[in-house]
Amino acid sequence: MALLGRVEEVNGDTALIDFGEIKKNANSKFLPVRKDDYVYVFDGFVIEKLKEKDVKNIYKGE
Amino acid sequence: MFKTLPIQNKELFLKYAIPCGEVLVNRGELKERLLKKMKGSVIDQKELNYDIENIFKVATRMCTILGTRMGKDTIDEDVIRKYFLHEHEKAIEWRMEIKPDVVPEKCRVYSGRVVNENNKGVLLNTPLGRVIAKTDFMDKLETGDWVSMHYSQIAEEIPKKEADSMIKEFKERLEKKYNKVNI
Repeated sequence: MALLGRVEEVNGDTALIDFGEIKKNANSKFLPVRKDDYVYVFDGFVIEKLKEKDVKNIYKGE
Repeated sequence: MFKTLPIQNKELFLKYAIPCGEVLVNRGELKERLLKKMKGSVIDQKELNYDIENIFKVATRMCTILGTRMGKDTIDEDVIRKYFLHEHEKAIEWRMEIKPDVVPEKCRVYSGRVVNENNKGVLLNTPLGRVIAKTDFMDKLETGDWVSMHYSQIAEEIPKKEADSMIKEFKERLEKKYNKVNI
């Protein structure tokens, strides 16, 4: 159920996430992120950061 | 790294989480054999030595966030029930707003009232109408008992007050969506 997105901007505990067709802010207090990180977001919270090789595998599989 | 809070009542957590394990199996994220083994362990009340934090990553992390906000240092029964009976629903709505590619009705946890028991399971009155639910995690239910149901599986018996609150929230959601409904 969590959605994969890319961090576009970080402002304190808030990160702007690009989900592809839509961009939304997410709370990153529980998992600090940096610009261009790929993350899973659920219910407005960043809950997982992906490693580069995992991101490549996901997009390869699409 | 996301640091999850320890789960105090693994049995209760798994009764709510296991029913949606089928989704993880279908996605290839969980082996069917492991899901069956976990379910068997809960039913037989065996020790639950599973890597729950990694198997049910989303639920454990969301319970951690919720638990922390509730001032808890473990994922206890209050946190588990607050998440699965109330907050889970909001999370599904959030998901549907961004990417409506799932059937939310199946993921939601509903309250239900036992009408009767038959060889297929238990007939429940739910906000969705009458449904047959599986009772793998339950010993014995009586007509009129209130229960929570996730993916057609009864998770546990709940107090009427809890069921009323879930029905109220369900009604409010529908009213918000379709202006006015009668349930």
